Order: sequence, then structure tokens, then C-alpha cells
Amino acid sequence: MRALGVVLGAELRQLLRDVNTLMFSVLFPLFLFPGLIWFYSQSMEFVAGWEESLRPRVAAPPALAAELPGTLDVVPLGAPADATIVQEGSVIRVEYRSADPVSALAQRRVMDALDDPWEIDTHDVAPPEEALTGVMARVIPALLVILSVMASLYPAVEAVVADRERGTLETTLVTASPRWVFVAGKLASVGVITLVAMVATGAGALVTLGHLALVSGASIGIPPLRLLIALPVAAVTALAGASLALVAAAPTRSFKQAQNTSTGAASVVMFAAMLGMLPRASLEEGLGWMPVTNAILVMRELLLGHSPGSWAAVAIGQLAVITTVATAWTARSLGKLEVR
Amino acid sequence: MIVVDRLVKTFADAEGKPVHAVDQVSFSAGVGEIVGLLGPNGAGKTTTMRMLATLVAPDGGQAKVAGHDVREAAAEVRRSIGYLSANTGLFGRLTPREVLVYIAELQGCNDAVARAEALLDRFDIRKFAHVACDRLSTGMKQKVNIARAVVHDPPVLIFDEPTSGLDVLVAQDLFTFLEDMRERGRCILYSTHIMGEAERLCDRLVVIHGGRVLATGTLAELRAITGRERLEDVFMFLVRGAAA
Repeated sequence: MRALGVVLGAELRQLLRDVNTLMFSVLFPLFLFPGLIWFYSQSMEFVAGWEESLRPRVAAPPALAAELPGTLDVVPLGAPADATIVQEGSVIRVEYRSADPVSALAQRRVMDALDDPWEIDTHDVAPPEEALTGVMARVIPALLVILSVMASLYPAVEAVVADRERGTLETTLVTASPRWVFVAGKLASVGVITLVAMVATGAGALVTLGHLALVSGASIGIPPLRLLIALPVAAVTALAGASLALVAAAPTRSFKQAQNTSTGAASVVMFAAMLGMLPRASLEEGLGWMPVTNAILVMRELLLGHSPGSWAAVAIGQLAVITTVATAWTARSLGKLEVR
Repeated sequence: MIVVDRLVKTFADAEGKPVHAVDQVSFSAGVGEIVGLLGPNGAGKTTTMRMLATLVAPDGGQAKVAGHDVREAAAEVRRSIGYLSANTGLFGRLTPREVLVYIAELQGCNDAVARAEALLDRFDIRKFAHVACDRLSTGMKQKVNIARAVVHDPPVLIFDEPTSGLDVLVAQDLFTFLEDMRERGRCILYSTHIMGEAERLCDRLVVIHGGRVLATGTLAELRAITGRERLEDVFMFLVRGAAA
């Protein structure tokens, strides 16, 4: 174990002296969080096109039901609905919840359908903090994972290929320490950098949340304790992403080749994480069995103060299996140490 | 200290056909002896040395280093050797001091820092001991690399073309160091292209070509076998004779 600590220390020292690692693992996640929030808002506009296929449920009095378009499912007043229409003389009151994207979509469609002669009064029945909470609960988990996985890319490539390119592989392999020590040390160093990146991202998220709350005057809605509870899930997810980046980089022979393969592997993880950001994504609709996406959704539930139930075990179990298999595979690749 | 008996290593070429990089190679090197491995490019010198350093597994034959079989006791072999080749690079972002301490710790030395400090003086490294290895000149790097190879004070040194890229001054320092090591009873296997180095340093020579040993012996013995005086002529005679 002493040798493992020695290797880990040397690997970390080298990684942390590298400008690229510092930039991508610490500065990038710390400072670009607000930028990604902006990117997210832009992408939501794109998602709006996809929303056109949705049919929100609207509770409406019979006199108005016929006027509502086919893109809305009309149900009797009192029934569960995404938005509710109440008629008070010539005034129509539309009650919706801005924190719920489907409810917000229903409200927009009702507004489009009910024009003159009605006087329309909209009421967002969601408390201000709920709106912020809803967005943040979707964004934070995915960004924690995406930025951590991005941050792990360079260290993963550096850890497994740089030794071959610089000739330091032979330098270490001719020492008496067992070869598994070098493999474990490299994997551990990538894991540590990934977790550092995740903590930096978490710090960036907290700062951004605080700023948004200050600007909007609303409560953040996500107590820091919930963020701390969700962090272990993010850590497991990020480590799984890092292990996939490692497994893709391990068999390659050059830095460039490793960058290409590991970026491809990480992109799969990041895409799965982004799926978890979609407004209607939920654990019960098939995504509960999709690795990474389910972890994002579990974190969302935790941030909202809901219990994800057995889905948490499913998500973490899947990620643990992925990480174990990928790490073993990487170790096997690195273990083929014959040098011609 | 080094006993190589009918060692074989076969690789596949680009078309998948077997190429005998090392074919039934046998030689030995004893305590307080520098044995030179001479051969043209592709002769099998480096592959032989890598097998002795446990970096490449032999396909046949047997090799023992300091009494340990390279296949069955690889860790003991690695603890017993100081290996230096063109492929043993330095960790670019570590300083020479850190490299020496790191390797000493990996070799299981409890006094890693003290050993590193001693070698900083022995190889005149101290004045750039705090500079990242990436920033060092070729000569400085090679000094650090030699110190790295011997930081655990191994009984056997395996040096594969250690003077390539070095200027005369640094090369002379290396020769002096190796002669000192021989005086201290170290067994040294030394490969080179440069006949002058071999003439100066080596007690015995193993001429290898096409993966096979062409001749072994002292310089005087090789002169007697070939009827040539200069080592370069001896070498050419043996290699051309094998080619014919």
C-alpha cells in the first residue's frame, strides 16, 4: 500500500503541475458554470420545438372546452390537470405552475387559444422559489456529471498514454514494485482529479445559485444539505464516466488517438446525462433503467426533497458495475506491458 | 551475475510472419566485469536486454540475473538491476530530486531521500536538482537517468546505448562512473554502436547479428579469431562473414 501511495502522489504531482489539467479540472468547472446555465436556457428554446408534440391536460368549464385546441387534453374542472381555467364573468383566470414545464406549456397554449372577447388573467400558483428549484434541480445534477467527466478526460489520457510517449513506462516498470501498483495509482489519480473537478463544479453551482437567489429575491429552494446528499451520487456517476474515458484511452498508442477515443466515450456519458435534464424525463418512464440518466434523475429527486426509492440502488448499482468492469479492463490493457 | 542460455524471442512482422529477433542467444557476464553487446541495428541487442530487464517475456531458453530467473522471479530481477535505455525517459514535470526519491521509494529503499541527495552530488546534479526535467538539456537528463538507474545500488547494470546523443564530456563522465562500478564489483552489460567505447570499457564482447551470437570473447580473443587488429575491422569481418 505504501508503494500505491507513492505512485498516487507522483501521478497527482505531475497532473497538478500541468496547466491543461488545472484549467480543465478546476478553473473550467468553477467559472464556466454560469456560462453553461446560459447554454442550457438556449437549448431549452430548442427543446420547445419538441414540446409541440406534448398534449398537456387542462381543466376547463364546458363553455370554454370547445374553444381549446387539439393540442390540449381537456378534462372537467376539479380533475387533476397541468393547468386550470376558471371563468369569472368575462374574465378568465388561468392557473398554472411555472416550475412545471408542461404546465407552463399548457398556459401558453391556453393564452393562444382564448383571445378576444375574453379578458385573461394568468396566475402562477407556484411559489417563486419553486420555479428556481425546478430549474436548478434539473440543471445541477447533469452539469455536475458533465463537467466532472470533461475534467477527467485530460488526466485519463495523460495517465495512460503520456508514459508510453515519454518513455517513463519502462522507467517505472523496471522497478521492483508490482505492476498493479502503477495501474492502481494511475486510476486513483484520475479518480481524485475527477472528484476535485466535481467539488469545484459543486462550488460553482452554489455560487451561481446564491447569485440567482439574490437577483430574483427568491429562496434557492435547494438547501445545501440536499446538495450534499446528492453529491455522492454525482461522484459515483463522474467516476463511472472517468473509468469509461480510461478504458477508451488505455489501448491507444498516441496522445491524439487517446484524446479521440476517450472523448467519444465521455460524450456517450454526457449525452445520457443531458437526457436527464429534459423536462419530462422521469424515472418511471423507462429512463429509470438507463445508466447515468437514472442517476441524474435520482439526484433531481433528492434535490427536490423527494425520495427516489429503489431507483437510487438501481442507478448506483449500475454505475458501480460499469466502473468496476471499466477499471478492470483498463488495468488489463495497461497490464499488457510487453514493450517491443 | 548474468547467465543467458539459448534465449529466444520471436515477433510477428507486418504481414504476420514470424521474425526471430533473438535466436538461441547465449552468453554470460560476471562480477566486476563489463560485457559489451555489439551489433548493427536490428541485431537483437535491445530485445535481449529488455528480456533481461523483464520488460519482454522470452519465448524460449533461460536467463538468470543475479541468480534470479527472469520469468519466475521478475520482481527480484528488477530489484537487482539498474536499467538504462533510450526508452527509459524521465518524468518531465518532476524535478531530478523528486525523480530519484520516487524511484528509490518504488525500489523499496527506506532511505530514499538520503540516497537521492548522495547521488545529486555524485553526478553533479545538485545545481539543477530543483528544475523540472522537461527543462533540462540532453546531457543533464542523461545524468539524472543514470543516477535514477543506480539509486537503489543494484549489483547488475544493464545499459543500452547510454551515450547516444551525449557530448564527449558527459560520455567521459559516464565511462568513469562505469569503470568505478566495475571496481566495486558490479556486473555491467553494455550495448553500443561505437567501437571506441567498447574497446575502452569492455572486458569481454558479445557480437550479435540477425538475432544470433557470432562470437564472444575478450578483444584479444576476437582479434585472434578474425586475424584483424582494430575492433571495427573485427566487427565488420564477423558481420560480413555471417551475411555471406
